[in-house]
Amino acid sequence: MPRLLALLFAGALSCAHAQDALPIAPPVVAASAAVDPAILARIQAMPHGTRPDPSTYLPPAFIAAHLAQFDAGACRFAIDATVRKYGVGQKDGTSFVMPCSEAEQLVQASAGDRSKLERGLGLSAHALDGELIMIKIAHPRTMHLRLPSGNEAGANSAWLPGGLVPSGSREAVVDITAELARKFEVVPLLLRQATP
Amino acid sequence: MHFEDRWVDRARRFALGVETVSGRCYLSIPVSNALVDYDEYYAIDQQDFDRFRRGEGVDAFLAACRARQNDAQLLLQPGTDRGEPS
Repeated sequence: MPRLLALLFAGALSCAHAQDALPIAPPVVAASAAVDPAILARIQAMPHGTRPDPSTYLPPAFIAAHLAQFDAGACRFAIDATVRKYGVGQKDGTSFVMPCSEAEQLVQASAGDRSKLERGLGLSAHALDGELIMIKIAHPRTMHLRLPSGNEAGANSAWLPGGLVPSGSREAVVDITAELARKFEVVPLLLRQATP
Repeated sequence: MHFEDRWVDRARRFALGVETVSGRCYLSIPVSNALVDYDEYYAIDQQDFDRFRRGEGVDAFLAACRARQNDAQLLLQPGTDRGEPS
């Protein structure tokens, strides 16, 4: 029996925003187009905590163009229970974000299928069995939007210099302080269970 | 799987609970990759559940989880982009 598509955006604050048309993002430009790839490889190989600020190796125009992609909103996914327990953001007060247009594309590409979205987010099967939410920041520049240095608490071994995740999505970092935590909205995403 | 938290220590950033389908106890920690915040779940027995709730030995267990030394106890195997403890 065909399953009813159950991808819904809900929440009193969020319906209008979630269904707004988002601008089409320009093609992703890799940092390797602007900087010697050998330099990027050396930065990636540096130990966590010792990497330089991106402004020291990326051209200002590249950084400006990258951050402009977040002006229509920055988003992040999370399990609702995780956020309720520990809040948004890493232990160092930072949080990685992606342009909302790309987050919406990920959700749409999953067509409401939980297992597809799990794969799209780099997670294992059943990792999203809890209620998934999208954290939406309308004005990320007010939260110190910047390119990640790779020294953030959330930068794992797959981190790449230049603002792209290994799957090719754009990323940036914002600061999530108690005061700034009021500047985002939470959009619940209802996904259908993975097909057995 | 259905994870039901029974006790949360926000300061130490972990939770104790029960996976209700199997009845197994777990300790969970928050992790994050570049796109998503979620929890990792480590199977523990009832004795450890009670001991960790009293704060006995939990710091060493948490440190081992965060150093990925307790991966054999993960209830869900990591995906392609495993989150860092957050």
